[in-house]
Amino acid sequence: MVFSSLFFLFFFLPLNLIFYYFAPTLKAKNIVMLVFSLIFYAWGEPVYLFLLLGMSFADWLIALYIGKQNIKSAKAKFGLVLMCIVNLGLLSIFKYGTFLMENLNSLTGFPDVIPKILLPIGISFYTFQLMSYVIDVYRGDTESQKNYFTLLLYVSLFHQCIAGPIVRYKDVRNALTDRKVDNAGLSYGVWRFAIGLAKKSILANVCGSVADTFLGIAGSSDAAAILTERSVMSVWVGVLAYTLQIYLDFSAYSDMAIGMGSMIGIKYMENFNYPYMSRSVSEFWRRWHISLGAFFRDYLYIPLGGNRHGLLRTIFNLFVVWFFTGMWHGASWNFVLWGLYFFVFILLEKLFLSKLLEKNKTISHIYLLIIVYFGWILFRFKDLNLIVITLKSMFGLNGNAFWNFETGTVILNNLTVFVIAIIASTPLIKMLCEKFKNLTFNNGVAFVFYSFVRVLYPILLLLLSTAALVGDSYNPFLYFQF
Amino acid sequence: MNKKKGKSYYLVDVLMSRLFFLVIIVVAIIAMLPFLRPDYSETEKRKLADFPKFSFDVLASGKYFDDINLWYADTFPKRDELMNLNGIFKGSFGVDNSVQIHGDVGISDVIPEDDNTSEDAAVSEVVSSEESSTIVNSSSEETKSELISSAVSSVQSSSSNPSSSKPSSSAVTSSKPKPKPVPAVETLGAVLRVKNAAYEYYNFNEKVAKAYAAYVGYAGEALKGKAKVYDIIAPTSMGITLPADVAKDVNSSNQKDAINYMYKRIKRLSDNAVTVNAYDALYAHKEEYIYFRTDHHWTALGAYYAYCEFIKAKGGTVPTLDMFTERKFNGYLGSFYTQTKSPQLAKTPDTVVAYEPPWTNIIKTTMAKNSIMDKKIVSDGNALSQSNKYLCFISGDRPYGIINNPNIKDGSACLIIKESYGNAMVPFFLANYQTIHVVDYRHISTVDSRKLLKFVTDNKIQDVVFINNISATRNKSLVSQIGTYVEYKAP
Repeated sequence: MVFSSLFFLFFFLPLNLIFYYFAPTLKAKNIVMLVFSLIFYAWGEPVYLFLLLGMSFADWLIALYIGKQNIKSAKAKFGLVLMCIVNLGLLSIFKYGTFLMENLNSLTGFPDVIPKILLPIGISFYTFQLMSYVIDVYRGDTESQKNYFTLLLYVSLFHQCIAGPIVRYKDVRNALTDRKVDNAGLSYGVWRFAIGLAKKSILANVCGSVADTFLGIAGSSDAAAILTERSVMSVWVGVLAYTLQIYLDFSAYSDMAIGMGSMIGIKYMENFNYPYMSRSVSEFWRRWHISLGAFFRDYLYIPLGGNRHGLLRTIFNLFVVWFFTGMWHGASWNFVLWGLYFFVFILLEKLFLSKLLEKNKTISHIYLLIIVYFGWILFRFKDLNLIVITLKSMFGLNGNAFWNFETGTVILNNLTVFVIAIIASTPLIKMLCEKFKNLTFNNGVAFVFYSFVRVLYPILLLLLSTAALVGDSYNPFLYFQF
Repeated sequence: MNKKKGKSYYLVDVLMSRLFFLVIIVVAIIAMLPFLRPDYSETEKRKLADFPKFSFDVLASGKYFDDINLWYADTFPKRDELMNLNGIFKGSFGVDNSVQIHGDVGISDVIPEDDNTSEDAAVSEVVSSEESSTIVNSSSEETKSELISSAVSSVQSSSSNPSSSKPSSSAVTSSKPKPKPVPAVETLGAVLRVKNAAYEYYNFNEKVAKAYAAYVGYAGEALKGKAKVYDIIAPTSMGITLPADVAKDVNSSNQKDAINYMYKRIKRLSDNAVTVNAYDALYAHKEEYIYFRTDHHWTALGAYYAYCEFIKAKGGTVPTLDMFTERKFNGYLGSFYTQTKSPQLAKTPDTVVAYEPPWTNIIKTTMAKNSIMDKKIVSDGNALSQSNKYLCFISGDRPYGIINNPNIKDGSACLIIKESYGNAMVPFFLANYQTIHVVDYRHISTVDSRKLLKFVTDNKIQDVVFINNISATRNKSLVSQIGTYVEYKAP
């Protein structure tokens, strides 16, 4: 089930909220959330629900075991290793099994038959959540959870289970057993949810359709022919549209997750902080998918030694982190390439580039946008051949025209959305809203206007999103494939 | 900020969140009322998704829940109205809204210069498909039989996969493909709208065009001595009425060249197949109302000009329009409107003009197996809904219909093999034939297992007329159905 489906908006969510608010005790509320979350997961993956239950159970047991040992003792270490084997083993099988076998097959001719394993939805997200939990117990950062169902609730909460943010157990531990919803949280949650919904169903989907028009449907058989034939400007604008889509799509999901968390009194970490405003690749990754970057930093980069063991070791550590960051996004070499692409720039920045970039804010911003823009080309096409064709078409090397009628028409047809999408990728609207609210403190007319907008805006967004979703019942979030 | 003001902000927020919850809960309740859920979409002309049937297999695969999602979204109350609202909203996305493209413009093959060398090749030369494909790869010269079999095998092998079914607009390759409901009409490609008229992009597809020509040519040969075969490829408005200043820039294949390419091949394959130059006839009347602006069909007037061209090719008396009773039905918003939801189209609906034959208005129609009904050749379009007025011609796409014209007693009989473009032309055939059989090649197999040769023999048919719009000739699934109906066998 996706948040931007009518079934979720007008069946699942209202039902969940009614049950939740009418449940008399926190325990009852937690049972409501758990049951709804398991149904939510089973809705997409009935069989893989058992994988989620089983992995949570295994990690629950292991964490209990580690919790009983002395901190970082040999026995605790054993538990940690066991946890890694279980989690990374299952992740490897279900996410990378087919990919690994295909590569093995192309190298050695073995195995003959490669089974197609369907990716369990959200496995990359919940595996990392479980791992962070057990590692935190191992480090003594949090106590182990005695109640399996509470841990399961943490892992399976439908707000964030399948597409993040990758919430840490220690951050929500208290909220799981002791929380209150206040009016501020409730209204903030509604506001954030409505904005996320519109961001996804209007802006991201329109940008996505422009990207598909200009770049061909990702994975379709005629993508190569389309990319070869498209005009130079079509491809540039297509990649721009994809750049906007992927941010708006993914951050919209986090907005909706954070909004729904707020509606029931759980605060999830922010996952995005206007990443396209960054001025270096390092900064971009502190603002983009923050929970993933933080995971790799805290559970891989720093344990490897971070930057404390000399330059060569730092380079190696960075390489490992970015190899796996790329790999995390999908079982395909283009994602690895994409991760390593960032590795190169982060390394350059560490060595000397960041000093240069600090000198001029405009140039550094343009530098970052160009890097990220081309990065998304690597991200979009699993077939490396298509990446080459795209780059050639961008410079007219496929004999394609610079501009044609369709290019101009499609751009003009969607210009308003492009402009709004670009503005939505900056903190401009947020700043204006705050300025305006300040104005209302001493101005009666402004306050009345503010009240109308504040009350009706979420409803308006809901109406427009619903209208957009009715005709297009198929629009999963991009990050569902990870 | 004073305390009182703080309280006001608090109340505004309370109102906002409560109102939002109220709205989603009320909509949820309304959406559960079965009598408010539509089961048919007027504007899309299709039955909406059914609630899925339960089974454990379907459940385990995840399809059951997917189908519930689909059903819920597809049959959402006020669906059509919400889609119209979205059309108006989307119409405001652009800066200059006079020209718009809806959907993804596909890629076109270059229309080849037909090589005359293969004209001389022996008709009866039999080349197995394996040999032919090697020859095709190694030589640019194609013999007649290779020409057919190579193209045909590629089309037939993929006939289950209609090329025109448009993938969704999402950029995602999900872990699991989720089927969309398949509409019961031909799906449109990308649509270009210029002010209040829309046009469908046409992208020439060489393989499919070759196969189409091969099938018609094959029918010509197969019916030699029994019946004459005529082929009318109708251009679409994109190739005729699109304003010249826009047409020069649009990346849509040249329809005249494409039709000529197919016609040349057909004529080369069979001297029993006559091709009808509808293109030039329509082009000569391009300033007249020969295509709908809000729908992908031609008007009856357009069909009439093509019919005249057919009679000229066949020999016979060309009917005049004043022999028929003119009927006008206002307020038509057809498939282009459905696809684009464009407010500009909605403001200026089409008028359907139909020409009712005076001799009889009855077509005995086989609606489905064991269901034969008398339908009207031209029915009252005012009784049809806004988006369905083209159904006034022979009541739409039925598998089979037969017209007996009491005015002619010469034993003349023709068979029309058509998709929906043929419907508007059927009434004119009454001026020249006693018996008119109308076969929709897409649906005929559901009511009659006989194929072309047997049907022609059984019914003593003299003239077989293919009427296909040019969009059909780039659609693999449609063309392969023609191949099935003519029982095409590779030479």
